[in-house]
Amino acid sequence: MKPSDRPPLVSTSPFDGDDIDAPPSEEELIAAKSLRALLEPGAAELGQHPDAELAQAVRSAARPAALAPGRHRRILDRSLASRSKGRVIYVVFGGVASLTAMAASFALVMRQADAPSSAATVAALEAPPAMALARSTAQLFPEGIPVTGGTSDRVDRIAYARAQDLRENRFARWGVR
Amino acid sequence: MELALAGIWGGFVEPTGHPFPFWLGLCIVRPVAAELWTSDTEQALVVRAKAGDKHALGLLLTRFGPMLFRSVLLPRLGNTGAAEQALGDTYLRVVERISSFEWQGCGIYPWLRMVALHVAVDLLRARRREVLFGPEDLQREAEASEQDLSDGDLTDTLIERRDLDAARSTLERALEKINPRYASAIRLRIIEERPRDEVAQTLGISTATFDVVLHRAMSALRKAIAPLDPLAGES
Repeated sequence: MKPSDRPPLVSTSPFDGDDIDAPPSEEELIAAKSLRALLEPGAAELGQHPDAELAQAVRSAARPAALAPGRHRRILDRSLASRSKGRVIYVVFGGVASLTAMAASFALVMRQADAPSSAATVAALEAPPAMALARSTAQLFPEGIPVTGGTSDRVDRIAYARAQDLRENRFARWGVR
Repeated sequence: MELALAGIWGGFVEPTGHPFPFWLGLCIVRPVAAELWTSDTEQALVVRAKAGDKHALGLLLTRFGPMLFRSVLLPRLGNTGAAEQALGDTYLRVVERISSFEWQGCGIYPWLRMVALHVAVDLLRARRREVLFGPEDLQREAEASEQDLSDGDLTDTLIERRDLDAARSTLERALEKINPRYASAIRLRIIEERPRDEVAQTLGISTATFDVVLHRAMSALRKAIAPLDPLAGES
């Protein structure tokens, strides 16, 4: 073994960073060997090793490499193509949604046309049901409306009567009255 | 020359008829684009790109994308893969937002650079890496880049040189914080990529000892750049 290749003395204590000539620990020797292998010519691209990542960052800051034209072309193609793809998705989705809506409305119309008419439905179509009409609240108060007092009672009576009208109207429209 | 003109014609004179394959046109335009590229050309392409012309946008990005990669993204993200991903993300944002770009006389490059810096900030925040720049550094650069949008004296070449110098200055500041012997090891072996034996001889140590010195130098550099990034070491 040549003197220049002789490994340095090994220390059992961790390196504290101050004494640069301190003997290396076993972990340091392993890490140093690993970094050496990564920096060798022909080695694979600097990978996930922490020192290798930092080495790549140092190189990138000091001497950033140009992007290969072919590589740039692929990135550009992908970015511009994704825009078209997005448009296609929108168009396809819109078309499918429109067709579905049209089919649904067609089915609804056909179903209504084919459905057997019940007597109530026919009657409801031929003669509109009698509905409660808007009218004065005076008839709700045959005893007369006092000038002062009793407001809450009157509002309750009106609300109750109108709710009943609304319910009756709905039943009439649905043909269940 | 005839082919080059045909490429230009196919590339951006006839946007709708596609009389000439666009990418073939792009291939031919690239070598001559530097000679023919003027502010008026660029503005015309921007107008068309804003109107949705993908060919025009492709020409703009073909001109400025490699510059963004080399001077902005790669030095700051420190990794080819991350820089390529950032460039792709930048293009996607540009495609989405080109319609909001307003021409202010200094060209489109400052705007593209601003978009790229914001993308790089997001990438750095999403994934911690061993890099010289922290997300906060890039955030500051991104905020400062908004001033460039209205600086008519700035050219893309000036901005490119400024970005490259900024990255090297950041690296030099970090190297100045560590032992000069460590800094020399990094400069000679990592930056200049000199052979291991030669660097060991220059430093007056054995090659085996040099391996340890270089590893310690990298550890020291990692500690030196940590204060620049308060998030370092959290992940």
